[in-house]
Amino acid sequence: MLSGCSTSTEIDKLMIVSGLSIDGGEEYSITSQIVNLQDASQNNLSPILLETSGTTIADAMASLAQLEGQKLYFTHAQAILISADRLQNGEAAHLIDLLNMAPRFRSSIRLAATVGSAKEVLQTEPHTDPISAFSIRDSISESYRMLRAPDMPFYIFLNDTLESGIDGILPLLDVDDTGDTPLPHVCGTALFKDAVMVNTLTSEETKYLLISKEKVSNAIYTTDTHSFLINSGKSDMKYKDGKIIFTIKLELSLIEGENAGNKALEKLVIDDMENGIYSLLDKLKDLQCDPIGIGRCIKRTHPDYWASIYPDQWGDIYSQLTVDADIKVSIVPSPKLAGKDN
Amino acid sequence: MTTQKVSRNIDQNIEIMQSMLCNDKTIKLHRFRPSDKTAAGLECCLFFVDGMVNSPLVNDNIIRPIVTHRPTVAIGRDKLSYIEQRVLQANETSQSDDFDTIIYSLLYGDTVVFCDGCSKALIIGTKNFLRRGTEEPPNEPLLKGPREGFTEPILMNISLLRRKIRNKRLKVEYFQLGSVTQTTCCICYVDGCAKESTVEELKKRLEAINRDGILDTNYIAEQIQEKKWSPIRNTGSTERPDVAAAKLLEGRVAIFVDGSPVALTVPYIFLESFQSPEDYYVNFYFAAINRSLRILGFLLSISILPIFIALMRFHRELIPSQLLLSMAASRQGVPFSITAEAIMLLLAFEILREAGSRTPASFGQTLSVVGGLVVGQAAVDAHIVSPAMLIVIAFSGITGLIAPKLKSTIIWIRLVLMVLSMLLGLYGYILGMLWLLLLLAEQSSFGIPTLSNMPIVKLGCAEDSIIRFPFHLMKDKERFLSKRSDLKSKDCV
Repeated sequence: MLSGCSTSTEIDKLMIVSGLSIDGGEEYSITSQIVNLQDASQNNLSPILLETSGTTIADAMASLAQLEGQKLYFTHAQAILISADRLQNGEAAHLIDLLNMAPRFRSSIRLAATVGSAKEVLQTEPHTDPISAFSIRDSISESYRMLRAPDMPFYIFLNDTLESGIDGILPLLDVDDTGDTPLPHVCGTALFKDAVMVNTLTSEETKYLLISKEKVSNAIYTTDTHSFLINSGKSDMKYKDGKIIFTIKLELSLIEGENAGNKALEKLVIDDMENGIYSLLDKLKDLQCDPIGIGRCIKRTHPDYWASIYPDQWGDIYSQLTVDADIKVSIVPSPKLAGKDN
Repeated sequence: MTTQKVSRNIDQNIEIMQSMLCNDKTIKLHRFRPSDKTAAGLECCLFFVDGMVNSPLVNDNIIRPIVTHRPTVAIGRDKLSYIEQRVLQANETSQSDDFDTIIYSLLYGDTVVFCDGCSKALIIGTKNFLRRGTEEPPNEPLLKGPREGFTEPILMNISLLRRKIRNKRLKVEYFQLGSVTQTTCCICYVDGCAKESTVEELKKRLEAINRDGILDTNYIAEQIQEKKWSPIRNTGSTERPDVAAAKLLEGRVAIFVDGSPVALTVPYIFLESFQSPEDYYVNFYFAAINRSLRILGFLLSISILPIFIALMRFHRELIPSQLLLSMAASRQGVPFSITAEAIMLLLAFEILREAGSRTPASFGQTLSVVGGLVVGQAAVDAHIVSPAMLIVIAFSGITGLIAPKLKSTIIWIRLVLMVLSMLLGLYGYILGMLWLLLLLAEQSSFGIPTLSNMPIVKLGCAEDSIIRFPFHLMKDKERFLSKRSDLKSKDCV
């Protein structure tokens, strides 16, 4: 405690890192996005990209620190982007080690996989925020609200990757270059199996994954014809006699139209969900990837049984597992419409 | 040392007076002989201080009756008593043969009459100093409530107090302090309300004061303080008769000093610093909000700058990202460290505050415009200081003014917390706050702990602490300072 003075630094002497991207083939190529505070007097924050390479991530990071001669400050970094190529080679394990060992990163930092070069995504210049890392983090959060991609803080990804019975997922990004300016675009989910990226899900498939996986509320659920606001959503899994029973209870309110209590529409939504979830589960079973956490459910409810099947038999059991989705949907009027009725 | 006595010879007395007063030109001597032959024995002279006496009273009620007096009975040997009882028209007279007493009275505005053949002098109360009115004290203004304030003459202050407490149990005990100034002081308390131990202890401490001069109540306040070096005061002070009366009713003792419009009250508890008389003159909801704001203001004033420095120097991860960027950007180009910047700005603020309070009112506006706006804006534009630090210092300063009774305390505590935060970050701030709490907990005023009546110390005493409860829930008889006497009982009226 008495050494407090020695750890203090002037805030303007720091190079505040807002985001990192990790690419590369033989060597690691790390691009660091630093907030340029020199032009800040006109309220213009602009990014500076510093690129280094090294044989390991730690090596590349060390080179980065030597570039400008000032202390790099990672605590407020918003996102780390890693190219899918790297992740398919099992790079997530190294990254987990790095982030876990370096307390200078926040455990809530967002991780994301990129379809192409991670650096390209990082060096996009969004209209809303000149510092793309901030914008990327916001767009991941917003995509999660639209059920298009998971919003994955590092500590949750770390937990899912290291725990048996569940596999990690990360949001998947690419560059949308259809407009005048290339923009970061959230395009789905990267699936992991033992810290190795095995496949991806589209935004549509991600929607079913997210409502199956966790309690969602205040998110937007869309079908081909309608959009709903999820007032409350709860998924539950029970394991009984070798059979997993999914229960998904959703209370939706229509964003447009006045179809509250419309049974036909509720049936339509249930059918859409059932089809989507079964199709998703088929894909996941083929990959032997369990991002929903079915294994964790068995582990928690039947630990002895789990101990007897994991890890040797669980792969086969999972691929042949029968899952029943019991979906209940009720469409209620939005509070605004309800107020009008009264 | 023996004191000189009045002689029977009037010329000798005049000579002694003039030699003792070193021929002071403000001392006026008026020697006269009565016009009527039968009163020829009444050869008198009188002394008074020019400007300190009521001239019409001296002319019409002293000089004229003596000069025009025609005795109808024999004057007798005791001429002075004859003058006192049959000639003069004055309500306050006394006799003395001691020149020290005579000179003291003369210099206090009384008129002294020597009569040939008498071994005593007649002292007639003719005091009439130039005095200001009982206008509202500028340091304790109110939006609602009484507008009168204490003034310099002690008797007027006592009369203001008596108008508030018309009860025979209001006791006033006079004494003199200051070996040279011989200042008249008094203690006031409500008998049966104030604890005897408090009154006795106060008298003991007052007797122990040994100074040449007592010119203000603060001369006494510092010398009766238990912990002489503590930054937290041990005595309350007020310039308002209504506040003094309320404190006496709560069992406190007031000390008045002639020539000072400030009354001291003891015992003093820390919570008094946040009380305003207006709390009792407005709706209790409003009073509760105001008092809470004062306490919050005090905490913000001592905390905001140390916490800001700790966050900026050590704990930047606790600052939201966008705010951190904004703060870091605002410091671009500033050549000084945050520590130096804070010290400079704090010093500048305190200089401005002190200058503002000493400057004549006509320059006050210029000072605030030049000091606050022009220099502040120029300093930011010139990158000498950052806007964030300027805002923090200004906010810290403004919140410090919300509890003016703690003005000096806040300055010291803030400085200590700031230094600790500079060295140790939030650990230092927490250590500093613990030090403050211990300091408060350890201190007591005339046997009453300074932290008394705080709900954090004792639940159930919240009726007039952090907030003020409505009057029907506040019990007069259970004031913790008093002896729980019932002033409404018959023997008190």
